[in-house]
Amino acid sequence: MKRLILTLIAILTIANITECFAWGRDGHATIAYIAERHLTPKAKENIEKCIDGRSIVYYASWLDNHRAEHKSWGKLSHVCHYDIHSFESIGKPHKYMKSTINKLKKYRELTDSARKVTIYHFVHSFGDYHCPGHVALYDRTGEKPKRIHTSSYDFYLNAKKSRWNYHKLWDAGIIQILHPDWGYMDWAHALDSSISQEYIDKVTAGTWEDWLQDVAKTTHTVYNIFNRVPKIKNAEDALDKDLSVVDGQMLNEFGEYASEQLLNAGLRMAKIINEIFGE
Amino acid sequence: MKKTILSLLLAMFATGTLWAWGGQGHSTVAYIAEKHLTPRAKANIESYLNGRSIVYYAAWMDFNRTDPPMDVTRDWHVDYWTDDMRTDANGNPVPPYSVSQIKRIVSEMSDFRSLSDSLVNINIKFLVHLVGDMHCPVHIDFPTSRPMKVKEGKNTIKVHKMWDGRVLDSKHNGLSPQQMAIELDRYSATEIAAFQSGTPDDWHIESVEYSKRAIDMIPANKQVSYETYFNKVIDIAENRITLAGYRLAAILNSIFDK
Amino acid sequence: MKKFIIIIAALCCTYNASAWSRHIHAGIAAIAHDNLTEEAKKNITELLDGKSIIYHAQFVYDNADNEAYKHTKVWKNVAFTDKNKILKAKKAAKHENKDVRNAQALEGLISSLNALQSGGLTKEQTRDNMLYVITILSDLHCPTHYVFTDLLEKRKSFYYFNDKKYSYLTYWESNSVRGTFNWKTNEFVHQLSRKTPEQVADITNGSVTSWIIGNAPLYRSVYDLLNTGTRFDGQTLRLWQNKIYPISTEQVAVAGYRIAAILNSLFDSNAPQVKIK
Repeated sequence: MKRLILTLIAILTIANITECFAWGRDGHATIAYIAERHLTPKAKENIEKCIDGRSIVYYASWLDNHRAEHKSWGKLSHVCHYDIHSFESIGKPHKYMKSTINKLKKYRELTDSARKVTIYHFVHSFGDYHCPGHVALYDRTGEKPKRIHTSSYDFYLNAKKSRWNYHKLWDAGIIQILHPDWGYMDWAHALDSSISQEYIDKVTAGTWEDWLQDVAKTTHTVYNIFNRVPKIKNAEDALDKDLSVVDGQMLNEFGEYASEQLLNAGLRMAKIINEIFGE
Repeated sequence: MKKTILSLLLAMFATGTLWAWGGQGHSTVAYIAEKHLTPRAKANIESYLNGRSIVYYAAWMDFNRTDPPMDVTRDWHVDYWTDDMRTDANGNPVPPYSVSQIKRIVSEMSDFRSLSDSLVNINIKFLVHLVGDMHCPVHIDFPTSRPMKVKEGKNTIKVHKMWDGRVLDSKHNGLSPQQMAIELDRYSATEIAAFQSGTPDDWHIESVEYSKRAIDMIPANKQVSYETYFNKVIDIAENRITLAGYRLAAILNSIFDK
Repeated sequence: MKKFIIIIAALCCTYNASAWSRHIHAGIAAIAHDNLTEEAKKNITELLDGKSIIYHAQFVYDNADNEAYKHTKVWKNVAFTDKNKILKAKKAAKHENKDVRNAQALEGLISSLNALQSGGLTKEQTRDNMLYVITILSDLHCPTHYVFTDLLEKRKSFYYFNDKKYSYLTYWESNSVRGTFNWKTNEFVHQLSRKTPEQVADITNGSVTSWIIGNAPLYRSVYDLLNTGTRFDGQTLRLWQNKIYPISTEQVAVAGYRIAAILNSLFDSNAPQVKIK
């Protein structure tokens, strides 16, 4: 019993002390594992050959873990910018994703270490870009484009009103909150049991730019979940702002949304890897 | 101290209140059931779940209790003890909750193709959860056990709370639900067929017996040590989860294997 | 919530039992299970009444308070001198330090292995001895179970993260892996049970005793990975963890393969035999 509690404590402690980004570790591992399940044997063999025979899942969060050693990566933009009405991409459109995919396409010409690092970047960032926390929306109807700040979607969790921020909802892994005892294999099994070819064709149609635009559109629906409930002030909150109160039911809606994104990201990642490494 | 931590943990993870087997147990039940579905039943079921596995929805009812339309399902998670016939406002006996809901859903689903997709979808979510709940000893709600509290050291806790999600965790915290299912699903085809025979009513009576046994293991002075108690009841818990898995498969096969 | 975290932090500091956490024990057992021969798997499943070694990976801990297993309390660590020479149980038993006194794990392991090899045990005895072999071998691939008599002070090493104090040994118990990967049972297999036959041959080469003694130099170096009292912030902690997880995950894999080798040797007469000494 003591051991159990201490183990739980350890898990919680580490959950509190490690930095997580976008989906949290379990989410990134789930995306990579769903992708792996949809790789052709040839593509799987080829890509694993490039990364010391390991699974791509092993490297799903490598970028988060090792970014501190590579300062320059911090400057790479992991956020996509879109117009909130037309969902037109604005600013520098996905420069980083573009260069990563282009490098990946020429993987045979890269050195061993450059090839590895490109794969690590891809398997992580591709998941990042499917996270609503990585989408910035702008309202351009006024004179100047106005960013819809995610910080306006901070919220109080449950009646206890502990303050959460929008980013933490995704970073701390909404999915870890819903299923603390599931691993990435459980997630993949649950989400990707018998996905129809029709569904796969639907979500993997078009280019990766289209997919990211699709994410931006659905991000809007997430904002709407927040907008649905009236905002309140919490006297104990030093910032004294009006915030939505998120209840268990809303968390489920986010969970549902997250589940869909994880599956889509995995299927799309598989498509790109199959195209590049499948021959 | 332990209690504070455990309850804090539960508070952090749980959005619902009563958790029966917890996420791990319910997922295990669904994994076991899934392995015993016929290919046709599995394909039919998953076509109503957007290609997801029933495992995804194993604890869905617990997660969605706070949703206002789900208010009617609040009482569905438990059964009362047969000796304690409950009555409604008019003095008429009320049938047990989860068992009667299971029976209702099974008959409603007898021709599932004539129902709307969303009704079939939600009925599947109900079944995967309720068959698990009806096998959980503390979900047999009888007058002596409902308010019963036990003490561990200085802490007082309701029996139901002590069980919820924790019994399995106490021993198998290191195992994923997928592995748990592999460990527990080790019976021969003949044994499984025997477990699957009977009706939800028969299983309910059997559940009452196990429930009594689990309650009887609490010392008369109500002073327990979690560790000792959990060690004693772990066999019951594992057995009930396994049977719930097999029976869920039987029910789902009877509906969807056509 | 804040209070809660402080309570946790305080507990983490005071608790000083060092072993792999439950998740890792289950993971090691899963890797071992994955590498059993069909024959060994069949015999072991029979011995465990249909369950696997993964299910029983916690056996020793679940029975820690059981009177019948009292003599195994000292089967915890192995102790080494400053020259990486192993300290015999007799000598260790008289040591003033408790961790050294508990350093009779190798003797426990050998006695269990001898009992299994000589046969004539009841089913229950066979089961118990096998589960001891699994747990002890798992633990003996956790550097914190290696007590170096010249580095006893270092066992008390600690670090600060955001001004809270954490024990280094406790960190190894779980977070050396969990700080980087949230793997559960089968996921350890998916990630780590993918060595080539040559790599496996290399890992399982030699006798059980030689494995344990062979680990010493690497595990000694683990004690040097932390300057006690170091203050970490999020970034420096991450950088530090990046040096540790390649070691911890590799040791988990090595333990799994070695347990498989010894179990195959015991429960499959056609498998290559592993010598004890």
